[in-house]
This record gives sequence, structure tokens and C-alpha cells, in this order.
Amino acid sequence: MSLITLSNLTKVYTETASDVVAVDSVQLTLEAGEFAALVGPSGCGKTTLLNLIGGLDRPSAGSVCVNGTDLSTLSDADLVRFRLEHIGFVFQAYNLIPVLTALENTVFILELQGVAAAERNRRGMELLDAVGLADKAHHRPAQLSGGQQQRVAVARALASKPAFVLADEPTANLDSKSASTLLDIMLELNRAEGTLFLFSTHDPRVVDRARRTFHLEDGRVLREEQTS
Amino acid sequence: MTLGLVLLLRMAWRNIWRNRVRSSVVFVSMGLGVWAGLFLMGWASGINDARVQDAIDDYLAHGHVHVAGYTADGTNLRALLPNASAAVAQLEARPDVRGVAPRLQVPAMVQAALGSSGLLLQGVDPQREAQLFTIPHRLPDGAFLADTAREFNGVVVGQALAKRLDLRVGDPVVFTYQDTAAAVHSTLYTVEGLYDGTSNLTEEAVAYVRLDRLATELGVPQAAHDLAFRVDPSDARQKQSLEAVCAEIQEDFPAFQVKSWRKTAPEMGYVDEIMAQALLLFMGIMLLAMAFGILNTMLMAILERQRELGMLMAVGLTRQRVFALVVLETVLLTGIGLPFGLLLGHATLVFTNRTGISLEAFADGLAEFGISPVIYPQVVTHWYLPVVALVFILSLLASLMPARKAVSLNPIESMRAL
Repeated sequence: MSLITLSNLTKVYTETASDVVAVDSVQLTLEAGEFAALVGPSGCGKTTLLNLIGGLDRPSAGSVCVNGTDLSTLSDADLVRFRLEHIGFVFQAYNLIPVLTALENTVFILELQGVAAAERNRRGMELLDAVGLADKAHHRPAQLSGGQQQRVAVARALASKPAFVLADEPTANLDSKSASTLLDIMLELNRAEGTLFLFSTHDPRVVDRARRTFHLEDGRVLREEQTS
Repeated sequence: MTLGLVLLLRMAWRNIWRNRVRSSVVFVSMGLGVWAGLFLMGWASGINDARVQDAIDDYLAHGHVHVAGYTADGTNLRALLPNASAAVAQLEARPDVRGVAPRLQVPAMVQAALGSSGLLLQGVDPQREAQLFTIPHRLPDGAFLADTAREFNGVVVGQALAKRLDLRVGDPVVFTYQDTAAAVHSTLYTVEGLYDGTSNLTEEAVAYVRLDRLATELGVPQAAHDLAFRVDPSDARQKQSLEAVCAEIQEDFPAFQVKSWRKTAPEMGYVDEIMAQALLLFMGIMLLAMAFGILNTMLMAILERQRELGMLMAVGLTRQRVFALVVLETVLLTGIGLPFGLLLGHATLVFTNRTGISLEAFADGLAEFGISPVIYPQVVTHWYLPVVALVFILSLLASLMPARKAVSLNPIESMRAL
């Protein structure tokens, strides 16, 4: 059984003039441990598709199945719990909690899950070490560079060992060097933790490293590429 | 859940320090509001306590013994205690009674050269009256019924009445009144002293003559209408204690009525209770106004942090926890100013209770209302808990709208994009 299965997934936004089909009958499957990217120009439906897979939005038709669970059958409250337990998120604008330190941000999900302090701090430090920020554990986001903040966001996304990580344009706000470092870290964590990473991006650096790419246009998957 | 609550508390605590200036304005306004409210309560309690105490010292005493049908305005002349001296002796024998003063009271018309006025003519025993009340000691001019010459009919009138009728010590005045047999007496008296009552109303409404003289005039020797008494100060302070003492005295005098000042002058007690409710209402209104300020502050904070709140909900913070986070922030924001306000209010009340606040400049105006020119605000510790509860209830109410606003956010829209 695939980790993620999208069946005839469709999202239509009803506008006053006409309906806008943001995602159009997408069918794809993703397996654990993949490093995949949704690629395409702005407005092609990448982010909408990512939102649907992450359970942040509900489809107009079709379904998203994660480990056999059809997300459309879950209530809003169950979806929140599902996201907390199974999905890691990395956002374009980092979106760290400004009043928490890097370590506290990293273990935020674990703390919500009720993991004991010693265990979550061990895991948090392990991940901060993996992203090269162990020495910044007690710094607040405002004291970190953009690249460092995004590395903390990656550590946070992986802290609870989710089934998969959804990353929306994670390198869009980073300079070339920071972006390259971040991608190396994510690839390494993908190998080490066996976690599926799915990006939405139009950054060629991400596309180059992705082992599977889905090219989108007008909400449809035009083609799929796979590299070894 | 406990761990989640600790996390929420930590976040809430740190969030309120994100905008230090804005939060400080809330802390200071809450602290000042609570301080002002407490001081006002202490001040009003001080005025009221002083007003009651002045009335007790002037004329009211702690309790009264009389027969059924007695009226304090003297209109029921026949409501007499027949053997007053025996009742006085019996009352004085009690260990909890500190003094007794028998009185005869008759409505009278005073006529002087410049006019006339209605008042209550009160026959008193000067020594006993001086033991119980302050008026016999507050005579700027003359003496309090000290002349015992057989042919001398002395009367002590209030300064306000003397001013109105242009009376001085030594001036003759005629008092007209009825005796118990409805016979009208017009008797010449001589102004022997002018008393300084706390209230101008009292000064115009009551005049004092010797009890034995008035008893003879009314044809009721050995009788009195009322026995005013004082009890131990520790009993007098507590409402329940005073009522208990009066109840015990009542058992000693089954044929008479024994009433505390709260029953003989109920308007004094009503003022006490009405003021307590009015002050709590006033405090509530003041804090409610502040609650709107806090509500506004929290709404601004929510609007500024939409993106962050959207992210929190996206990664798995339930709406209940978002709601709790906003409520906690609001309560903390409110709660920080509260102890400072309480502490400052308490310190102010303790200090001013010792020193008093002089309003000598307004002494004449205050006297119209029976209020002393030096106010001693009371340390109203019994108000602290209701004030704390009020602050927390209002802060909880103030948090509801921002919290609802926060949980109604759509994570995607709040973040604009995933």
C-alpha cells in the first residue's frame, strides 16, 4: 500500500464570474522515503495540491488517502489531530514561533503530543545537531538568519517522526548558499529518517535534487519524471 | 493536556511581552484602576463610618430602650418608661453596658425675637448625657445645662439655629409644647449654651433642657421616653455583636423594646448597605471600561499575529488550544496589573487611615451632610477578594471576542499559502 494515494483529486473554487479549477483530476501515489517535488509556474495548483494532501483544505472531488485513511472522512478536529500526528510542515516564510527558542520551536509538536521533557529535548538537540544548529538551540528566531530559521523549521517538521513532510517553496526566501545547505540537510534527513519529502517549488536546485518530479499546469499533472 | 497547558502558559506569558509598551499601558491602567477603585471604596467607607460614628456620638448612641409605640420624633408623648431611674440602674448593672442616658422628648416651637422654628426639645440628664455623647463637650459658647438654680430654665441650642434666630447665650426664648394631657405650655427659657453638632440639620432640629425641669413641665416626674445606651466598643463595631447584646438586654426588659441604632435609625444602616452595592457597581463599571481597552489590545494582537496563529493551527494546534492561548494571554495581561493595584491601594488606605485627609476648606459644606472635615479612609480588606474576582471575570469576558476571532481564522487564508 502506498503512503499517499491521490485519486481523481479535484479542487474547484467558485468565483462570481466562473469556477476556477485549481486542481484537476490528479492521480498519483507516493511511497515512504521518497524525495519528490511538485513543479510548475505560479498559479499551476502546486500549493493547492499540497494543501489538499496536508489536510488543510478539502477536495471538491476525489480523495487523498494517507496510509489507507481517506482524509475526506475525517472531521475538522480529527484532521487537526491527524496533521499533528502524521504530517510535518515546512513553510516558505519559515513561520517559527517568535517567542520560543530554536529548541522549543523544534520540540513544539512533541510538546503538544505530550512527549516527556527529557525525551523531546534529546530528540530536539539531535535534530538541531543534524541541521548544524546545536549551538543556537537557545536563540530565538529573531536572532537567527533566514537560512538558519528554515533549518529549524525542517527540524521541527521532523521532530515527531511524521509519515511525510510537506514543504512549500522552502528555498524561495533563501540565498543560493543557504538553499543548497538546506537541501543537503533535507536529503540527508530523508535518507537517515526514511521520511517522505514532498516539495512544491519552481526552484531548479530543488528540482535537480528531487528523485521524482511532477510537472503541473492548470491543475493537472502533465508529466512525471523520475531520477535514480 | 497538562504538558499542553504548560506550553500554552509559556507562550502566553512570552506573548504578552512581545509589545512591551502596549502591554505596559494595560498593566498600568489596570493597576491604577484597581488602586483608584479601592481608594474610592475606602474613602466612601471612611466617610460613611465617620458619619455613622458622629451620629452615634452626637445623639444616636448604640441602642435604646423604650416602650412600644415610642417614636423618636417625640410625637407619642404617652409612650413613657414610668420608672426610668430603676431601668437606668438595671441597665447600668450589665457588664457590657458602658453608659445610659434617659431622655424626654417633645416636639416644640421655639420663638425668639427674630423668628420661630419647630424642633425637638430633649430633656436630658447633663452628667449622663456628657458621659454618652460629645455634644455636651462641644460648646463654643456657654455651658451644657450647668446652672442648677431653681428659678433658671436653661436651654442649649445648636449653632445653626442660633445663627438663624440670631440667638446668643443669655438670650430669652419661649418654647411652646403640649404635655401628656394635651395642655399647651409656653415656657420662657434662657439660652445657656450653643452646641457644635457635626450636622447642621441636627443643630437646627434638637435643643436640650434639663430632664427634671421638662418632666415637671410635662407632668411626668421620674419618667423618660427613651434610655439611650452605649455598649463595649468591641461589641459596637460588629453588627452581629451589637444585635446580640441588644437581644440579651431585651431579655432583661421583656416589657419594653430594646433596639440597636440600626433599627432606630434604619436610614443610617441603609446608606451603609446601599453604598456597598453602589461602590461595587461603580468599580464594576470602571473595570468594564478597562475591559474594553484590554479587548481592543487583544484584538490588535490577534490581527497582528494572524499568520502565526494560522501556522499553529496548520501544524496541529487545536482550536480549543488556540482559544485557551488567547484567554490565558488576556488573563495574564490583566492579572499582572492587579497585584500592583491591590498593593498600592492597600498601602494608600493604610497610610491615609492613620494620617486622615483634611478637607477643612470644605468643612461648612460637609457639615451640611453631617460629615467631618477630616476623613479617615477605611482599609476595606473585605473588598479585595470581590475586586480580584471582578477583575478576573471581566478579563475572561474581554478575552472571549479575541479568542473567538482567533479560532475562526482559516489556516490557509491566514498564512496566505501553505
